[in-house]
Amino acid sequence: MKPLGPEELRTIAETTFSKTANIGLENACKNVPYIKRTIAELKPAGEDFAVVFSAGPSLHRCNPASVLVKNGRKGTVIATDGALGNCLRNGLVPDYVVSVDPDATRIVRWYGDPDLESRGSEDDYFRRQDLDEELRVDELAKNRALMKLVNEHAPRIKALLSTSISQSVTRRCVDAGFDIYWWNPLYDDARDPNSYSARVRTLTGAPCLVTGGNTGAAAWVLAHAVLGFRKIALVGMDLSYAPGTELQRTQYWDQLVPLFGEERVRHAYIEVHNPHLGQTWFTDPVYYWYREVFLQLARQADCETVNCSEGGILFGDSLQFQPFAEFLRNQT
Amino acid sequence: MTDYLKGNFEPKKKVEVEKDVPTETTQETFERRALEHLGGSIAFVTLKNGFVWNGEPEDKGK
Repeated sequence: MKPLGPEELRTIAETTFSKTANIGLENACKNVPYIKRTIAELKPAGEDFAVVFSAGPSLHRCNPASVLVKNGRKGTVIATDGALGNCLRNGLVPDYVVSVDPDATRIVRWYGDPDLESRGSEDDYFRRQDLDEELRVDELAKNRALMKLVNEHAPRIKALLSTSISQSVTRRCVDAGFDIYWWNPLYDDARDPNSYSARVRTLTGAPCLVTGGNTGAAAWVLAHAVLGFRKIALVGMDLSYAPGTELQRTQYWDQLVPLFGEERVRHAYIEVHNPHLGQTWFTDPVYYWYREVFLQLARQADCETVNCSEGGILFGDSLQFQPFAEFLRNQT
Repeated sequence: MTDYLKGNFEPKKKVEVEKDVPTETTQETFERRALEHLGGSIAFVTLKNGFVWNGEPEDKGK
Protein backbone atom coordinates (compact mmCIF):
# COMPACT_ATOMS: atom_id res chain seq x y z
CA MET A 1 0.00 0.00 0.00
CA LYS A 2 1.16 3.53 -0.69
CA PRO A 3 1.72 5.98 2.20
CA LEU A 4 -1.67 7.31 3.25
CA GLY A 5 -2.92 10.73 2.19
CA PRO A 6 -5.03 13.19 4.22
CA GLU A 7 -8.36 11.64 3.19
CA GLU A 8 -7.27 8.12 4.13
CA LEU A 9 -5.87 9.35 7.44
CA ARG A 10 -9.18 11.08 8.12
CA THR A 11 -11.01 7.81 7.43
CA ILE A 12 -8.95 6.02 10.08
CA ALA A 13 -9.58 8.86 12.54
CA GLU A 14 -13.33 8.59 11.93
CA THR A 15 -13.32 4.82 12.27
CA THR A 16 -11.36 5.09 15.50
CA PHE A 17 -13.90 7.57 16.85
CA SER A 18 -16.82 5.32 15.93
CA LYS A 19 -15.14 2.30 17.53
CA THR A 20 -14.02 3.94 20.79
CA ALA A 21 -16.28 6.86 21.74
CA ASN A 22 -19.36 4.89 22.82
CA ILE A 23 -17.46 2.22 24.68
CA GLY A 24 -15.21 4.89 26.21
CA LEU A 25 -18.21 6.78 27.57
CA GLU A 26 -19.83 3.57 28.83
CA ASN A 27 -16.61 2.62 30.59
CA ALA A 28 -16.35 6.13 32.06
CA CYS A 29 -19.82 5.72 33.61
CA LYS A 30 -18.70 2.47 35.24
CA ASN A 31 -15.41 4.00 36.39
CA VAL A 32 -17.01 6.98 38.16
CA PRO A 33 -17.13 5.26 41.59
CA TYR A 34 -13.36 4.72 41.37
CA ILE A 35 -12.47 8.31 40.51
CA LYS A 36 -10.95 9.75 43.66
CA ARG A 37 -8.26 11.91 42.07
CA THR A 38 -7.54 13.34 38.64
CA ILE A 39 -4.38 14.37 36.84
CA ALA A 40 -5.20 17.98 37.78
CA GLU A 41 -3.84 17.09 41.23
CA LEU A 42 -0.45 15.99 39.90
CA LYS A 43 2.46 18.31 40.54
CA PRO A 44 5.24 18.86 37.99
CA ALA A 45 7.88 16.23 38.63
CA GLY A 46 10.76 18.69 38.93
CA GLU A 47 13.30 16.55 37.08
CA ASP A 48 15.04 17.59 33.90
CA PHE A 49 13.64 15.04 31.53
CA ALA A 50 11.27 12.12 31.16
CA VAL A 51 11.62 8.86 29.28
CA VAL A 52 8.46 7.44 27.76
CA PHE A 53 8.57 3.66 27.33
CA SER A 54 6.35 2.29 24.58
CA ALA A 55 6.14 -1.35 23.62
CA GLY A 56 7.43 -1.47 20.05
CA PRO A 57 9.84 -4.21 18.99
CA SER A 58 12.89 -2.06 19.80
CA LEU A 59 11.96 -2.40 23.47
CA HIS A 60 13.25 -5.98 23.20
CA ARG A 61 15.81 -5.45 20.47
CA CYS A 62 17.62 -2.60 22.29
CA ASN A 63 16.51 -3.16 25.91
CA PRO A 64 16.39 0.52 26.94
CA ALA A 65 15.20 -0.43 30.45
CA SER A 66 18.48 -2.19 31.05
CA VAL A 67 20.40 0.71 29.47
CA LEU A 68 18.71 3.16 31.84
CA VAL A 69 19.38 1.03 34.91
CA LYS A 70 23.05 0.67 33.97
CA ASN A 71 23.30 4.44 33.56
CA GLY A 72 22.10 5.07 37.09
CA ARG A 73 18.39 5.51 36.51
CA LYS A 74 18.22 9.15 35.38
CA GLY A 75 15.04 11.07 34.70
CA THR A 76 11.38 10.25 35.26
CA VAL A 77 10.09 7.04 33.70
CA ILE A 78 6.62 6.93 32.17
CA ALA A 79 5.64 3.49 30.87
CA THR A 80 2.77 2.57 28.63
CA ASP A 81 0.85 -0.42 29.96
CA GLY A 82 2.37 -2.61 27.24
CA ALA A 83 5.90 -1.73 28.39
CA LEU A 84 5.27 -2.15 32.12
CA GLY A 85 6.22 -5.84 32.29
CA ASN A 86 9.43 -5.29 30.33
CA CYS A 87 10.46 -2.45 32.66
CA LEU A 88 9.79 -4.44 35.82
CA ARG A 89 11.52 -7.57 34.55
CA ASN A 90 14.59 -5.44 33.86
CA GLY A 91 14.65 -3.96 37.35
CA LEU A 92 13.19 -0.62 36.33
CA VAL A 93 10.18 0.51 38.36
CA PRO A 94 8.45 3.28 36.38
CA ASP A 95 7.25 6.42 38.12
CA TYR A 96 4.06 6.35 36.06
CA VAL A 97 2.11 3.86 33.95
CA VAL A 98 -0.51 4.89 31.40
CA SER A 99 -3.59 3.08 30.04
CA VAL A 100 -6.18 4.37 27.58
CA ASP A 101 -7.43 1.59 25.26
CA PRO A 102 -11.03 0.50 26.15
CA ASP A 103 -10.45 -3.18 25.29
CA ALA A 104 -11.79 -5.46 28.04
CA THR A 105 -9.55 -8.52 27.78
CA ARG A 106 -6.25 -7.57 26.14
CA ILE A 107 -5.18 -4.50 28.13
CA VAL A 108 -5.58 -6.15 31.51
CA ARG A 109 -3.00 -8.72 30.40
CA TRP A 110 -0.28 -6.06 30.59
CA TYR A 111 -0.90 -5.91 34.35
CA GLY A 112 -1.33 -9.68 34.76
CA ASP A 113 -4.91 -10.85 34.32
CA PRO A 114 -6.39 -12.46 37.44
CA ASP A 115 -9.22 -13.98 35.36
CA LEU A 116 -7.10 -15.46 32.59
CA GLU A 117 -7.18 -19.02 33.87
CA SER A 118 -10.94 -19.08 34.48
CA ARG A 119 -11.73 -17.29 31.23
CA GLY A 120 -9.40 -19.33 29.06
CA SER A 121 -7.54 -17.79 26.19
CA GLU A 122 -9.19 -18.32 22.85
CA ASP A 123 -7.74 -14.98 21.77
CA ASP A 124 -4.32 -15.75 20.27
CA TYR A 125 -3.21 -12.09 20.36
CA PHE A 126 -0.62 -12.58 23.07
CA ARG A 127 0.79 -15.68 21.41
CA ARG A 128 1.26 -13.70 18.19
CA GLN A 129 2.09 -10.15 19.27
CA ASP A 130 5.50 -8.53 19.12
CA LEU A 131 5.02 -6.04 21.96
CA ASP A 132 6.10 -8.26 24.83
CA GLU A 133 8.04 -11.30 23.68
CA GLU A 134 8.02 -12.71 27.20
CA LEU A 135 4.26 -13.27 27.12
CA ARG A 136 4.19 -15.24 23.86
CA VAL A 137 4.85 -18.68 25.35
CA ASP A 138 3.71 -20.46 28.51
CA GLU A 139 0.95 -17.90 28.90
CA LEU A 140 -0.53 -18.93 32.22
CA ALA A 141 2.77 -19.18 34.09
CA LYS A 142 3.97 -15.88 32.58
CA ASN A 143 0.70 -14.24 33.53
CA ARG A 144 1.04 -15.40 37.13
CA ALA A 145 4.63 -14.15 37.27
CA LEU A 146 3.61 -10.77 35.88
CA MET A 147 0.77 -10.46 38.40
CA LYS A 148 3.22 -11.08 41.22
CA LEU A 149 5.72 -8.56 39.86
CA VAL A 150 3.06 -5.89 39.35
CA ASN A 151 1.54 -6.49 42.80
CA GLU A 152 4.98 -6.09 44.37
CA HIS A 153 5.74 -2.74 42.75
CA ALA A 154 2.35 -1.13 42.07
CA PRO A 155 2.20 0.85 45.35
CA ARG A 156 5.29 2.79 44.20
CA ILE A 157 3.80 3.64 40.80
CA LYS A 158 1.29 6.31 39.83
CA ALA A 159 -1.23 4.96 37.30
CA LEU A 160 -2.52 7.65 34.93
CA LEU A 161 -5.71 5.99 33.78
CA SER A 162 -8.08 7.17 31.11
CA THR A 163 -11.75 6.93 32.06
CA SER A 164 -12.19 4.97 28.81
CA ILE A 165 -10.51 1.83 30.20
CA SER A 166 -12.45 -1.32 30.92
CA GLN A 167 -13.58 -2.25 34.41
CA SER A 168 -11.26 -5.25 34.20
CA VAL A 169 -8.26 -2.90 34.04
CA THR A 170 -9.65 -0.58 36.70
CA ARG A 171 -10.25 -3.41 39.17
CA ARG A 172 -6.81 -4.85 38.48
CA CYS A 173 -5.11 -1.48 39.10
CA VAL A 174 -7.12 -0.86 42.28
CA ASP A 175 -6.42 -4.37 43.62
CA ALA A 176 -2.72 -4.14 42.80
CA GLY A 177 -2.46 -0.92 44.82
CA PHE A 178 -1.48 1.64 42.18
CA ASP A 179 -1.76 5.30 43.12
CA ILE A 180 -4.43 6.23 40.54
CA TYR A 181 -5.04 9.55 38.76
CA TRP A 182 -7.77 9.81 36.11
CA TRP A 183 -8.14 11.73 32.86
CA ASN A 184 -10.49 11.73 29.89
CA PRO A 185 -9.64 11.37 26.23
CA LEU A 186 -10.70 14.34 24.11
CA TYR A 187 -13.03 12.45 21.78
CA ASP A 188 -14.49 15.17 19.61
CA ASP A 189 -15.42 18.84 19.36
CA ALA A 190 -16.05 19.93 22.94
CA ARG A 191 -17.81 23.12 21.81
CA ASP A 192 -20.89 20.98 21.37
CA PRO A 193 -22.39 20.40 24.84
CA ASN A 194 -23.67 17.04 23.62
CA SER A 195 -20.24 15.93 22.45
CA TYR A 196 -18.63 12.91 24.03
CA SER A 197 -15.84 15.17 25.30
CA ALA A 198 -18.21 17.57 27.06
CA ARG A 199 -20.32 14.75 28.49
CA VAL A 200 -17.39 12.76 29.84
CA ARG A 201 -15.87 15.94 31.33
CA THR A 202 -19.11 16.70 33.16
CA LEU A 203 -19.53 13.08 34.23
CA THR A 204 -16.06 12.57 35.71
CA GLY A 205 -14.75 16.06 36.49
CA ALA A 206 -11.39 15.05 35.03
CA PRO A 207 -9.51 17.07 32.40
CA CYS A 208 -9.73 15.95 28.76
CA LEU A 209 -6.47 15.27 26.92
CA VAL A 210 -5.48 15.17 23.29
CA THR A 211 -4.53 11.48 22.96
CA GLY A 212 -2.64 11.09 19.70
CA GLY A 213 -4.74 7.94 19.16
CA ASN A 214 -2.61 5.53 21.16
CA THR A 215 -1.13 4.95 24.60
CA GLY A 216 2.44 5.94 23.72
CA ALA A 217 1.36 9.29 22.32
CA ALA A 218 -0.95 9.86 25.30
CA ALA A 219 1.96 9.14 27.67
CA TRP A 220 4.04 11.74 25.81
CA VAL A 221 1.17 14.28 26.08
CA LEU A 222 0.92 13.61 29.83
CA ALA A 223 4.71 14.06 30.14
CA HIS A 224 4.83 17.58 28.72
CA ALA A 225 1.30 18.98 29.04
CA VAL A 226 0.54 17.70 32.55
CA LEU A 227 3.85 16.85 34.23
CA GLY A 228 5.61 19.81 32.64
CA PHE A 229 8.68 18.14 31.15
CA ARG A 230 10.48 20.20 28.54
CA LYS A 231 12.66 17.36 27.33
CA ILE A 232 11.27 13.91 26.59
CA ALA A 233 13.01 10.81 25.26
CA LEU A 234 10.96 8.13 23.56
CA VAL A 235 11.98 4.48 23.60
CA GLY A 236 10.16 1.53 22.07
CA MET A 237 8.16 4.00 19.95
CA ASP A 238 8.56 2.23 16.61
CA LEU A 239 5.00 2.39 15.25
CA SER A 240 6.11 -0.28 12.82
CA TYR A 241 7.71 -3.68 12.44
CA ALA A 242 11.35 -4.57 11.93
CA PRO A 243 12.42 -5.85 8.53
CA GLY A 244 11.69 -9.58 8.29
CA THR A 245 8.93 -9.65 10.93
CA GLU A 246 6.33 -12.30 10.11
CA LEU A 247 3.06 -10.64 9.14
CA GLN A 248 1.16 -12.91 11.55
CA ARG A 249 2.94 -11.16 14.42
CA THR A 250 1.79 -7.67 13.47
CA GLN A 251 -0.84 -5.85 15.50
CA TYR A 252 -3.65 -5.73 12.97
CA TRP A 253 -3.12 -9.12 11.32
CA ASP A 254 -6.37 -10.57 12.66
CA GLN A 255 -8.29 -7.58 11.31
CA LEU A 256 -6.46 -7.30 8.00
CA VAL A 257 -6.83 -10.93 6.91
CA PRO A 258 -10.66 -10.85 6.76
CA LEU A 259 -10.46 -7.60 4.78
CA PHE A 260 -7.71 -8.51 2.34
CA GLY A 261 -7.57 -12.31 2.44
CA GLU A 262 -4.37 -14.19 3.31
CA GLU A 263 -3.04 -14.08 -0.24
CA ARG A 264 -3.35 -10.31 -0.56
CA VAL A 265 -2.78 -9.21 3.00
CA ARG A 266 0.82 -8.22 2.32
CA HIS A 267 -0.60 -5.38 0.20
CA ALA A 268 -2.10 -3.85 3.35
CA TYR A 269 1.31 -2.87 4.71
CA ILE A 270 3.31 0.28 4.03
CA GLU A 271 7.09 0.37 3.78
CA VAL A 272 8.94 3.39 5.20
CA HIS A 273 12.68 3.93 4.83
CA ASN A 274 14.27 5.42 7.94
CA PRO A 275 17.36 7.39 6.88
CA HIS A 276 18.67 7.53 10.47
CA LEU A 277 18.84 3.76 10.57
CA GLY A 278 19.46 3.08 6.90
CA GLN A 279 16.68 0.50 7.16
CA THR A 280 13.22 0.04 5.71
CA TRP A 281 10.63 -0.92 8.32
CA PHE A 282 7.03 -1.72 7.48
CA THR A 283 3.83 -0.67 9.13
CA ASP A 284 0.09 -1.08 8.92
CA PRO A 285 -2.37 1.71 8.12
CA VAL A 286 -3.33 2.45 11.74
CA TYR A 287 0.27 2.68 12.89
CA TYR A 288 0.98 4.96 9.93
CA TRP A 289 -1.88 7.18 11.15
CA TYR A 290 -0.29 7.22 14.63
CA ARG A 291 2.97 8.32 13.06
CA GLU A 292 1.46 11.19 11.12
CA VAL A 293 -0.54 12.34 14.16
CA PHE A 294 2.51 12.26 16.42
CA LEU A 295 4.64 14.28 14.01
CA GLN A 296 1.82 16.85 13.83
CA LEU A 297 1.51 17.05 17.62
CA ALA A 298 5.27 17.26 18.14
CA ARG A 299 5.31 20.41 16.01
CA GLN A 300 2.74 22.00 18.34
CA ALA A 301 4.28 20.88 21.64
CA ASP A 302 6.27 23.16 23.89
CA CYS A 303 8.96 20.57 24.52
CA GLU A 304 11.98 18.94 22.95
CA THR A 305 11.27 15.39 21.87
CA VAL A 306 14.09 12.95 21.16
CA ASN A 307 13.23 9.59 19.66
CA CYS A 308 15.72 7.17 21.21
CA SER A 309 13.94 4.03 20.02
CA GLU A 310 16.74 3.09 17.62
CA GLY A 311 14.11 1.52 15.41
CA GLY A 312 10.90 2.27 13.58
CA ILE A 313 9.48 5.01 11.42
CA LEU A 314 8.93 7.94 13.80
CA PHE A 315 11.25 10.58 12.44
CA GLY A 316 10.77 14.06 11.02
CA ASP A 317 11.48 17.74 11.47
CA SER A 318 9.57 17.97 14.73
CA LEU A 319 11.76 15.56 16.70
CA GLN A 320 15.34 14.39 16.99
CA PHE A 321 16.54 10.84 16.47
CA GLN A 322 19.36 9.68 18.73
CA PRO A 323 20.64 6.46 20.37
CA PHE A 324 19.38 6.18 23.95
CA ALA A 325 22.82 5.77 25.55
CA GLU A 326 24.00 8.92 23.76
CA PHE A 327 20.94 10.83 24.97
CA LEU A 328 21.62 9.75 28.55
CA ARG A 329 25.29 10.73 28.32
CA ASN A 330 24.22 14.24 27.34
CA GLN A 331 22.00 14.69 30.41
CA THR A 332 23.52 16.20 33.52
CA MET B 1 -10.96 3.47 -31.48
CA THR B 2 -11.17 6.46 -33.81
CA ASP B 3 -8.49 4.82 -35.93
CA TYR B 4 -10.90 2.00 -36.77
CA LEU B 5 -14.41 3.45 -36.69
CA LYS B 6 -15.20 6.37 -38.95
CA GLY B 7 -18.67 7.79 -39.45
CA ASN B 8 -20.13 8.53 -42.86
CA PHE B 9 -22.13 11.57 -41.76
CA GLU B 10 -21.63 14.82 -39.84
CA PRO B 11 -23.55 15.03 -36.51
CA LYS B 12 -25.72 18.10 -35.98
CA LYS B 13 -24.23 18.75 -32.55
CA LYS B 14 -20.53 18.94 -32.04
CA VAL B 15 -19.40 15.87 -30.11
CA GLU B 16 -16.83 16.53 -27.39
CA VAL B 17 -14.41 13.69 -26.84
CA GLU B 18 -14.13 12.92 -23.14
CA LYS B 19 -10.72 13.62 -21.77
CA ASP B 20 -9.02 11.02 -19.59
CA VAL B 21 -10.18 11.55 -16.03
CA PRO B 22 -8.08 9.86 -13.38
CA THR B 23 -10.28 7.20 -11.80
CA GLU B 24 -9.74 5.17 -8.69
CA THR B 25 -8.41 1.73 -9.49
CA THR B 26 -10.02 -1.40 -8.14
CA GLN B 27 -7.06 -1.84 -5.81
CA GLU B 28 -7.41 1.72 -4.49
CA THR B 29 -11.15 1.28 -3.95
CA PHE B 30 -10.49 -1.95 -2.12
CA GLU B 31 -7.86 -0.35 0.10
CA ARG B 32 -10.06 2.66 0.86
CA ARG B 33 -12.92 0.39 1.94
CA ALA B 34 -10.56 -1.66 4.08
CA LEU B 35 -9.45 1.50 5.88
CA GLU B 36 -13.06 2.11 6.89
CA HIS B 37 -12.78 -0.94 9.16
CA LEU B 38 -9.48 -0.17 10.87
CA GLY B 39 -9.33 1.88 14.03
CA GLY B 40 -6.73 2.87 16.61
CA SER B 41 -6.71 2.57 20.40
CA ILE B 42 -8.64 5.74 21.16
CA ALA B 43 -10.25 8.69 19.40
CA PHE B 44 -8.09 11.66 18.52
CA VAL B 45 -8.83 15.31 17.84
CA THR B 46 -6.70 18.38 18.35
CA LEU B 47 -7.30 21.50 20.42
CA LYS B 48 -6.96 25.01 19.12
CA ASN B 49 -4.49 25.73 21.91
CA GLY B 50 -2.54 23.17 23.86
CA PHE B 51 -3.29 19.59 24.79
CA VAL B 52 -5.53 19.76 27.87
CA TRP B 53 -9.16 20.86 28.05
CA ASN B 54 -10.43 21.71 31.53
CA GLY B 55 -13.88 22.80 30.49
CA GLU B 56 -13.15 26.44 29.78
CA PRO B 57 -14.87 27.79 26.66
CA GLU B 58 -11.69 29.26 25.18
CA ASP B 59 -9.91 25.88 25.33
CA LYS B 60 -12.54 23.89 23.55
CA GLY B 61 -11.59 21.42 20.89
CA LYS B 62 -11.87 22.12 17.24
